[in-house]
Amino acid sequence: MPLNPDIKKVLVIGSGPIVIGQAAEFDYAGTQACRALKEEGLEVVLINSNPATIMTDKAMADHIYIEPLTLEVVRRVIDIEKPDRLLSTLGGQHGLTLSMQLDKEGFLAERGVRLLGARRDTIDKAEDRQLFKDAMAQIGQPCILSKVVESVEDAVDFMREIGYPAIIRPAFTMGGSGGGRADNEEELRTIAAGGLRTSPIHQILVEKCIAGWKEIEFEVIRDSAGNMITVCSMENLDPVGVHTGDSIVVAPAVTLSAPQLHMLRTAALNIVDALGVEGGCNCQFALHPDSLEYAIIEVNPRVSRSSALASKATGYPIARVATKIAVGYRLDEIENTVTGSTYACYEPALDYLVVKFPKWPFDKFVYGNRKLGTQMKATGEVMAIGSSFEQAIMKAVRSVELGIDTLRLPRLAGKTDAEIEDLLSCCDDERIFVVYEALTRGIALERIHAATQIDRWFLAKLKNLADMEALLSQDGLTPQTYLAAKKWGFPDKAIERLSGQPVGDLHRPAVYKMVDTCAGEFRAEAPYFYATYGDENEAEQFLQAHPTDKRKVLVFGSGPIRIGQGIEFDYCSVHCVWALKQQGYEAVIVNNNPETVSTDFDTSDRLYFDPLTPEDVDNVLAVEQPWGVVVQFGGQTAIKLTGHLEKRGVNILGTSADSVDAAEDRERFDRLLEDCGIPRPAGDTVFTTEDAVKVANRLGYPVLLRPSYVLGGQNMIIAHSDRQVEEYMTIITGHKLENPVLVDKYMMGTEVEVDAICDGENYLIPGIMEHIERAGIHSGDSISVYPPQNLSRRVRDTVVEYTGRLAQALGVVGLVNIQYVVYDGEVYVIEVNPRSSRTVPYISKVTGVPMVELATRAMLGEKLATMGYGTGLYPESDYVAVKVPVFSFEKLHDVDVHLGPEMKSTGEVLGVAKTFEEALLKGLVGAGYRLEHQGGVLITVRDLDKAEILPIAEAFEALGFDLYGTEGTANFLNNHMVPTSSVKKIGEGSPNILELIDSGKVSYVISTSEKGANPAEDSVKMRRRTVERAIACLTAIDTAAALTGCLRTGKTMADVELIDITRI
Amino acid sequence: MIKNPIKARLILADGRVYEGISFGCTGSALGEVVFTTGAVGYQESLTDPSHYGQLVAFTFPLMGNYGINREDSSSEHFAVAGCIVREWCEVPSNFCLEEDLHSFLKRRGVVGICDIDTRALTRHLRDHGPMKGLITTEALSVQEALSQIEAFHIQDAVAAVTCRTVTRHSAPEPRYTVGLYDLGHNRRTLGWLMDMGCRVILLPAGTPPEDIAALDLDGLVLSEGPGDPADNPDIVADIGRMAAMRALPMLGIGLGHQLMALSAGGCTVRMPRGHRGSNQPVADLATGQIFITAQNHGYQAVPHSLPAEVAVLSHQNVNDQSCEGLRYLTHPWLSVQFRPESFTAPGGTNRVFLEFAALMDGIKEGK
Repeated sequence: MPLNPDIKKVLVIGSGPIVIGQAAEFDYAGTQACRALKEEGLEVVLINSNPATIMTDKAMADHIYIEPLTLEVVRRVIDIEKPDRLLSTLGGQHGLTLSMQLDKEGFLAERGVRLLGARRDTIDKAEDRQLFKDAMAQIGQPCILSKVVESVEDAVDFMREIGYPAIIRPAFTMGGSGGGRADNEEELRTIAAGGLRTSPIHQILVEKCIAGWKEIEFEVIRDSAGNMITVCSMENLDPVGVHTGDSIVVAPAVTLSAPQLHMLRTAALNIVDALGVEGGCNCQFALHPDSLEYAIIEVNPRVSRSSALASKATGYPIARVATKIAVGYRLDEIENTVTGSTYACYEPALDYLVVKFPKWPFDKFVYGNRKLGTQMKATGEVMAIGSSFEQAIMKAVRSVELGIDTLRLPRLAGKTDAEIEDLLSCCDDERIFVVYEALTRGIALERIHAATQIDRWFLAKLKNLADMEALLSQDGLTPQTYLAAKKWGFPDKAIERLSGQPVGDLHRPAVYKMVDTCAGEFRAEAPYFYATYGDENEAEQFLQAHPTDKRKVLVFGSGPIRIGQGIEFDYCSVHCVWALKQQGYEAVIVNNNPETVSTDFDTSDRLYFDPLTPEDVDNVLAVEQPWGVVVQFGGQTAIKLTGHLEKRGVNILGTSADSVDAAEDRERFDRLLEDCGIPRPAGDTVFTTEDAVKVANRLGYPVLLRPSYVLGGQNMIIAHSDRQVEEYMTIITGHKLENPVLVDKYMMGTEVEVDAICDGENYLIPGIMEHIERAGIHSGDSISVYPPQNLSRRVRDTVVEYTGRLAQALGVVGLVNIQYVVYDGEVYVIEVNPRSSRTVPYISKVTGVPMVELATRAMLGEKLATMGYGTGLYPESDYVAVKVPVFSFEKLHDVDVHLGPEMKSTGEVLGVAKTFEEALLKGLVGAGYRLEHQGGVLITVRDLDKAEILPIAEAFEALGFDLYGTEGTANFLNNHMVPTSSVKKIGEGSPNILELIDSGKVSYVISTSEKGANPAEDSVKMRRRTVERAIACLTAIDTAAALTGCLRTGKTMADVELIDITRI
Repeated sequence: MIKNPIKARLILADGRVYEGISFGCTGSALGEVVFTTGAVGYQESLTDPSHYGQLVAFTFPLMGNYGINREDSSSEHFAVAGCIVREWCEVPSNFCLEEDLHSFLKRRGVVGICDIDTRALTRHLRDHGPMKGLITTEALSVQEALSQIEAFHIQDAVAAVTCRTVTRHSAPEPRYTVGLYDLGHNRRTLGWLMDMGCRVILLPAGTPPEDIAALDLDGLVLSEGPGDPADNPDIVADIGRMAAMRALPMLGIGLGHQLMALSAGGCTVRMPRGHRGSNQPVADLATGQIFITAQNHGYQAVPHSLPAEVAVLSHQNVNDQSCEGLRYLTHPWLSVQFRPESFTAPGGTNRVFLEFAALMDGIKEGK
C-alpha cells in the first residue's frame, strides 16, 4: 500500500524542552519524521515549545508553532490549521500523552483529525497496567508478577505461589520508604508488616524481585500489514535495577545464546503484534541469568531514546521508516536509504559492537544523589563503535569527557582494597570505574560479579583492558603490544604514559569501516564511518571512488548533551554543515552523540562517529585531509581542540586560535579591553586563600570566584564574606591548582547578552537580549528577553559599539557571544566567547537572520556587506521572544533548586508574542509553570533581599493571594503593612513550613538564602519539597517580580494569539 | 591476549593472503570460503552440514561469546572445514555453556584463524563471489597453497553428510508420518517436524524409492544439504520415480527444494554471493506476508526454468527477488529455500507446514 491519498496535512507534536529522560533524540526523530512527510508532498504543521531544535526550522515544516505544549494550545492549533492527521509517536511520552487525551475527549473526532502512528487501543494496552497485563496474559507473555495486598498473610501466600525474592513497596509513601527486599518468608513477614504500618492506606505491593537479571531490549518495527522486523537487540551492562537510560548498553546483545535471543525476539514480535503497533516499538525484557525465565519490563510503542540509539547503532532510520508506515507504506515498499539497494523490510546485521555510555550531571551537582536506580539521571549519552568491546568502551570513555583516557579513575587510586570492595556494591555513576579499579588490583572476578551482578563476559573484557595496562607498564612497548593495545582502543597518549616510552615510529593510524546495515553483504552508499584497526580503509576507498573538485571542510560536533552544552550546539553544527554544502563545499561531521541530527548519516557528506580527542581527530584528518575545519559550533568540546589543530597546522576556519586564547587568557583579555577602552568589573587572579581574601577585601564584597580553566559557570560562586571565600578556596585548592582562581567584583546589575556575526571587518548583531534576573544567575538559567525592554538608547548604543570594537580587536570571523552587565548606567563586559552560543537558535528564529549560515559564509571569506542582512544592529522584530529555562530538579534528588552562577537548567522553551507580558506568559506556561491566579505565596528571603521583596509581596497581596512567611520575612512584611502569616521553621513544631507546602495551600514559593546547597540545610529541604509537590519555586527576586507582572495582566493562555513563526 | 600466538594464514584462490593467528586446530584446511552474517548462532553454523567443504567466515567480529553448549548443534558430528573470525572469546559466559569455541573446534578437528580483518574479507567475497581457499599454519609457499586450492573440489557432499541408517523419531500424539530424506539435515528440521506433530522417519540419501513407497508415508520431506544441486543426478532421478509411483506429498527445504526443481525439469544456478545468515526477508506471495528468515545456501532454483503449468513461484526474497519457494501444480509438492520454522507467525501459525499438511490431508482423504 503506498501513500494514503486521503492524507493531506499532518500535525506533528514535538517533545518540548530538554529534560532528563527526554533529550535531543526527539529532535532527531522529529526532524526525520518531518522530512519523511515533506518528501511525500504533505503539508506539515509542527508544534514544539523548544526553539533550540532543528525540527522547528523553517525548512522542516510548512507551519511552525513555538508554543507551550498543552492540550489547550494543541486544540487551538488544530482549529487554526485544520490538519487531517495527527502524528503522535514522534514527540516522546509528552507528545503521545497529549495526542491520546485529545483523542479520548473526542476533540480529534469532532475536528475530523485522525491519529497517525498509533491507535488509541494500542497505546491504552501498552500504558494501562491492567490492560497490558491482560493483553500479555492472552498471548502467554510473562509480566513481572505482583500483587497489591493488605495483610502479611496475603503477601506470604502470594510469594509462596511465585517464589522469592520479593520486593515490597508500601503504597503512598515518599521515596519508597518502608519497603525493601525479602529473600525468604521470615524477611517478608518483617518487611511487609513494617510496610503496611508506614503506608497511610495500609497497603503494599508485593512484586517478584528481578534485580540482577539481564536487561535486554529489542527495537521492533511493524507495518499495517503485520510485517515485522527487529532492528536490533541491545544488552544493558548494568543488570535490571538501573534505568536503561543510566545503563551502559551494548548492541547487539552479547551474552545471550542463539536460542535465548531467538526466544526474546519472538516474544518481542508477538507483543508488538498483539498490541497492533504500526511503526516503531521498544520492548524491554528481564532475563534470568541462569535460566530461560524472562519477564517484560516495559513496552514503548513510539520512538524513544533507545530507538535513536538503535538507529545510529545500525544505520537503520527508525523514525523515518515509522513515519512512512504511518502514512500508509509497507516495510517492503520503503527503500533502505543506506544501501540504496535493499528495503526497510530487513533486519540489520552488525559487524561491529556498539557501546553507549551515559553522561551524568554530577560534576555540576556535587550534592546530587549519585545512586542509580529506576529514576533516570543522565542528561545525555555518547555512543562508540568498535571491532571489540574493549575498543568500543575505551572510545566511549574518551567521548564522555571525564578527563580520562582509560577506565582508570585517578580518584580511586587512593582507596584501600577493602574500600574498593565496599564501593562495588554501591551502584552509582562511577561504579564501572570501581569495577575496573578492582580488576586492576586483582580482586577476583567472581567477587566482583557477586557484588555487582554484572555478567562475567563484561568483567572478563574489562579485565583484558586492566591486563593490557599492566602489560604496558611492566613489559614496556613492543610492536606487538602496541598493535594489541590499539586494537583495544588505547590512545597513544595512554600507551606512552603507561609504558613510559614514546610511541614514535610504532604509530599506526586507524582505518575506517562503514556502518552499512548489512555487515558488508551488500554494497552500501552511506558514508558513515568509524575508526578501528585492520587491513582496509573504507573511508579512503570511498574518497577515491568519489573524487570531487569541492573543498572539504570538517565540522566538529559537541559530544554528549550536558548541562551548559545542549542541543543548541548540535543545531549550530547542523546548520554549519548545510551552509557549507550550499556554498559548494563538502561538509564532514565528526561527533559521538547518538541522539542528534548531526549524526544522522544523511546530514553531512560524510559522518565519522568517533571521539573528539586530539588523536581520534588526527585519524580523521589523515584520511580526509580537509581544506579547513570548523570548531566554532561544537561548544567547548570542539573549541578545546583548537590548540591541537593549530599545532598541527590545520586551517581553522574563522576566528583564529590566537584570538580564542586572547579571549580566554585573563591577562591578555584585560589588556585587550584596556586597548579598546572597555570597562570590566575589577578583579584579579589568585592562587592561595590568603590572596583571595586580600583581593576580595580590596574589591569589596560581594565578589565572584571561579577557576580560570573552565567556562560555563562550573564551580563558580558569589561570596559575600571572608568566610565564604575561605570555604570556596579550601574546596578548590583541594584539587591540584594548575590555573589561578579569578576573583572579580560582583556587580548586581542587568545582564545583557549579544551574539554577533563578524567577518573580520564588519559585524552584524541580530538582536540584543536582556536577562530578567540580574547578574549572578548563570545566563543559561536566566529568563532572556529579546528585544530588550528596559535598556536606554544610550546603553543599547554602547553595547553595539563595544561589540563592534571587541569583534574587531579580537579579529572574530564567525560568531561571537558577549555578555555585559549594566550597573549604575554603565556597561561592563563580563565575558567574551568567540564561538556559537546557546542563544543562537532562538535569536535566528525570531529575527529571521540565519546566523550560522552567515557566520559560515563569513568564515569562508564572504563579507557581511554582500550577504543582504546589513551590518550593525539588525532592525528589531515586531515580536517579543522570551526564553525560559527548564530544569530537571524532580529527577535529581538532593539537588538544591536555588539558582546561582553555576548553570542548572537542562533545556529551555520560548514564548513569542506581540508584547513582553504575553511572551513571558507563554514562556512560563511552556516551561511548566502552572500560573495560578489564586492561593497562597510562601516567602522566605535572606535579609539582603527583604527590601526588594516588599513590592512583590504587595503585588501578590493585591492580586488576592494569601501570604505566608518564615518568622523574619513575615515580621518584616507585617511591619511594612503587608499582612503575612508566620510559619514555623522545620523542627520548630507543627504546623511547620513543610506541612504548609504539603497542605496544597501554596501556589508559589519565593525562597532566597545565603546558605549553600547542602541537602541537610533546612532551606534546601524546603525547596526540595516544593519541587516534589510540583509547586513553582522562585529563587531570584527578579523572577518573582516578572511573574507578578505577568499575573497582573490577568491574562491566561486563552487570551493570547498563537503565532506561526514561518509568517514572521 | 594470546601469549605466544601461532601464526596462521588464509590464502584465497585469487592469491590474496590474510595473516592472522591460529585457534582451534593447527594444520591446513581447504574449502570454499563463505561468509555468514548472524551475530549469534555460530554453534549452529559450525555444525550445519550445509556448510560441508566450506571455510566459514563470521562477519560479526566477536565469536564464541556464549560458548558452546550441548543443545544447539545442528548435527551430532559434522563440523565445517575451517572457521574464520576476527576475535574469539576466551571467557565466554552463559549458564548453558559447556566449553569455549577454541576447545570445541579442537575437539571437532576444525582449523581456525582469528585476528584478521573479517570485514575486508567479506567485502572481497561479496565483490568477487565465493572462492576456494586454504587456512594453514604451515610454512607453505603461496604458490604451493594455490596449487592445492586449484586441485580442491567439493565432491559427493551429500554422501558425506547423510545419515547411514534409518531412524524413527516419534512425537507425542503424531498426526502424520513423514519421511525426512536426509541430504545433510539440520537437527532443527527434525525438531520442527516433530513440533508440528509428525512422526519422522529419517532416511539416508539414496534410499531406493521402492523402500520409501513401502513405508506408507503421509509425506516426504527432502532436507537441506550442502553443495551444488546438479551434483546429485541419481537423487533427482529418484525423486522423479517416487512421484511416478504414487501421489506422495513432498516438502523440499534448501537443497531438497533445489533437487525437486531439477526433477521437475527446471535448473539451478550458483548465486553471486548466496544467502547465509538469519536476516533474509522473504515474502509469501499468496498472502503478501513477509518474514525474516534464516538461510544458508549458495545456489538457487530458477523459477522460470519451470513451465508455468508445472510450478509457480510461491515465495520470493524481498532484497534480490530470488526464488525462495515453489508450489507445484502437477504434483502435491511445495518447496522452500529458507529454514521453514522462521515462517512462524505470532500465535504459532506456520503456513509452510499448514500447506504441506493440507497436501497430506488431501491425499489421505483421497485414499
